[in-house]
Amino acid sequence: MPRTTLCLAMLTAAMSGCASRPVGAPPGTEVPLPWGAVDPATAEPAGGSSDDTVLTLAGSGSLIAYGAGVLCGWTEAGTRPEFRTVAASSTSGLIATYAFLGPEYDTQLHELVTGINTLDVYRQLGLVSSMTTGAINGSGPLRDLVERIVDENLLDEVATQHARGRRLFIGTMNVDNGTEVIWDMGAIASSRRPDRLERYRDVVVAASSLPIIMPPVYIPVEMEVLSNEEVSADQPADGTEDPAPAPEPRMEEYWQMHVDGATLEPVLLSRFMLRRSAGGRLYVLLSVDFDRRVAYPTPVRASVREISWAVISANAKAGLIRDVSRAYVLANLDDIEFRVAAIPSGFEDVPRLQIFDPDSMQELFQGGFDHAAAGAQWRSIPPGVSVEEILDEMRRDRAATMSEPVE
Amino acid sequence: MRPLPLLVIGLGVATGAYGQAEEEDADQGEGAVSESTGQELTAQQEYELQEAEAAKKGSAGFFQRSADNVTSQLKADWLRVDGLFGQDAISKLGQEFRAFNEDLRFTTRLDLGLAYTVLWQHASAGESPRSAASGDFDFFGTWHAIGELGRTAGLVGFAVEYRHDFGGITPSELNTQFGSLLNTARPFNDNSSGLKQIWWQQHLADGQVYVRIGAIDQSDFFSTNRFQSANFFFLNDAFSQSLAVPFPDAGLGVVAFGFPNESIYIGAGIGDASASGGSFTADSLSGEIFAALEVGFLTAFEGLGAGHYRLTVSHTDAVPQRNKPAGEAFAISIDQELGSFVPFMQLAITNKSGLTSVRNIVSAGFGFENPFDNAGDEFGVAAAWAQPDDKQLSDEWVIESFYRLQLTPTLQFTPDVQFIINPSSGTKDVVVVGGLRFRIQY
Repeated sequence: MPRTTLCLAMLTAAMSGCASRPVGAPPGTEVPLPWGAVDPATAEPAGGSSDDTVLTLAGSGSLIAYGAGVLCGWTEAGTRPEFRTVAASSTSGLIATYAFLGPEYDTQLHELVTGINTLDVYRQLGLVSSMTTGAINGSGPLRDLVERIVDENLLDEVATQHARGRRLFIGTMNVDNGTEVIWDMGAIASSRRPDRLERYRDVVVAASSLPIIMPPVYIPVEMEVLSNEEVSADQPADGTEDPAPAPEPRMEEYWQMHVDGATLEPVLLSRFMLRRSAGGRLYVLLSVDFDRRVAYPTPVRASVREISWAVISANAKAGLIRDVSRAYVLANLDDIEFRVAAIPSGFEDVPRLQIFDPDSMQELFQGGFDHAAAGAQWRSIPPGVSVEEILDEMRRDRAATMSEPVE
Repeated sequence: MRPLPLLVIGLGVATGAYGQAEEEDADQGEGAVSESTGQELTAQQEYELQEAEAAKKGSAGFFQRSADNVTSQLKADWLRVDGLFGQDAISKLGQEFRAFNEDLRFTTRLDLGLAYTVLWQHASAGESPRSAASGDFDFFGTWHAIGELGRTAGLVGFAVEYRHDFGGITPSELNTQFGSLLNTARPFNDNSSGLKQIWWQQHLADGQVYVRIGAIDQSDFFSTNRFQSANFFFLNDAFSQSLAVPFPDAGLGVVAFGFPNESIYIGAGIGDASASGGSFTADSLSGEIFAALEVGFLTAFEGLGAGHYRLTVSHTDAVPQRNKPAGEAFAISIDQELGSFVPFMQLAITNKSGLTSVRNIVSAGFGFENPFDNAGDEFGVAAAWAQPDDKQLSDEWVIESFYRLQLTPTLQFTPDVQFIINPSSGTKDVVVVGGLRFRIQY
């Protein structure tokens, strides 16, 4: 029936109109870092004095309200330092800029984490869109939110602080090659490129895009490739072969798929961020509820949905504990004092990770604020680690050192 | 450099304050059920958030279509309340279905609903039989195919129904037994079963516009009010239909609604004026058009609630095969929340004889939500005056009252009484029609 055919054609057209990924680099291609990203191996360390403080923000979803509360409560207590370096992963990237810019932005920070609901962050995608974007939800609202909070003026403020030697880093994961990418947000803000605002926003959205839950963000990277044009068919008649003309380099643009960097490294911290800060202090602010053994209904039903959540949640928690321990090690290696805070044991009414509810986020914010204002939030031992075990290890280490022969 | 306790790397066993609750949780034992739920939004949470978002945006969110609309019924199902007896055996079955439906929704984006409504009515006067009963099984749903829900979504929707009698006459025939102009429960008949609706709904402009195209029911969209459903509220035609507007049966058509701002909307629809309930095909487009245009005003008075004010004009082409002339109708429909008390009023007039059985009608009444603190209950009283199209017949009045009792999250029981005063072609001054309605919805 012609009308039926027309309807099917329209439906197919609508479906095919859904986005698929833009062109990625061919397999095996060594793609350079996109502009704004830093190579941890060669990156210049920030800081250079024993007064340096480094803050790394971790935690995602609605729980970032706790981190925001701690920052504002810290201001209230009058002891909040000016951080030489701020690093963030996951949704904490949303609040990282305000944390970096300091107490003058506490009001915006508070409004940000207590003024949004879930539909301001993501919305369910239709099945066809879900299949073509690789995510359960669309992040259109999140992008709108980021566009509202990140504007040219904010970038200018970040650039000003960058010029003072301060650094702001946000981490994402390049899904195409499975590596972490650390973005120097101050360098992006300081750039004269016309796409600095777009790049800054892209990174913040990508950092908040938990894979599968939210669609990835595609970030362009330009690279020089050699022309692979065939040698001319006009071969000399005598059969001699002229040397093939050297391939001409040309610029190609490829797109990298980026998602939440916490997938690889829940606590963003690279050694170059600490290298010159000996005698300083590292603060690890975890908007994380370690109390919650599981973040899904138990016993788990035999459903794809619930098993997926169970595995993802367990993996995320294990990764977090591993990373905090790693941060502890890095701090000790560079003779930096280690401090960590997380949502305290027994804190009630912690909202669910991906549910942004203004009321419960306000409670969580207030909890963080109160703890920080009372100066009670920081510990010197990572969560998941027994003090006794560390002391035993130290004793064994000391005993081994004393038993070694003196040269 | 300080001694480095390498032991810390990879430690997964937590003790001390951070880990305390882990042990407590572990002690819950087999079968312990945590109150925490999954990380992604459930359908109920999503609908709740949409409600909250609508409230936050102002009055636009209170835009209501008919309660019988497929999306309205799905929403009502996900937002259901405990009811008088709470989670009884039926509701546990319902919970299983709900969990299945939630998984289905997550994996396929199919959102399905089932409902069965049965109505028994008895008239105090008229020819025998004076009792009537029928049942209506509804299966409906949407499939979210593309785009972001509420912003750019494209949905497929459908509604299938099976209506049946119980051996006697159906409530839709009861009015003929005592000569009433107004049908005492029009949807409860046995003559319309099958696929009633199938459509595509597309949200555009960040949700400020939506278009529905396909086999649709125009009366779901125009000149409605919040009480206009014989499945949930009043049964009589005077309140459950916009009677003087010559709506065709569900058929091929398109409707579009746009919200230029939070206080106003404009809706337009075109459909097949000759559509005959449940028998639409592409070939049923005979060229006769029904068209409607509605301007709606949405208000939200501080401390009172939402108000919805609608002006609707419609036109229908002549439908010769049914001896229907071309003509126009004009309708005003208002409902205004005053806390839990919700008065409403409707007026509809036509400019041509023969369009509908009613030439002019005015109805007014109120609903009272949750009068005895049982969430889901609704009490309503309304009165109407109807002028027959046939000038040989006398004007008719009707007063109706119902009390919808929410027994469980899935079961409603509604006693209803109608006073038909001066039935247009009847001999009695007053006929009382009592009714009992049960509805189960999953």
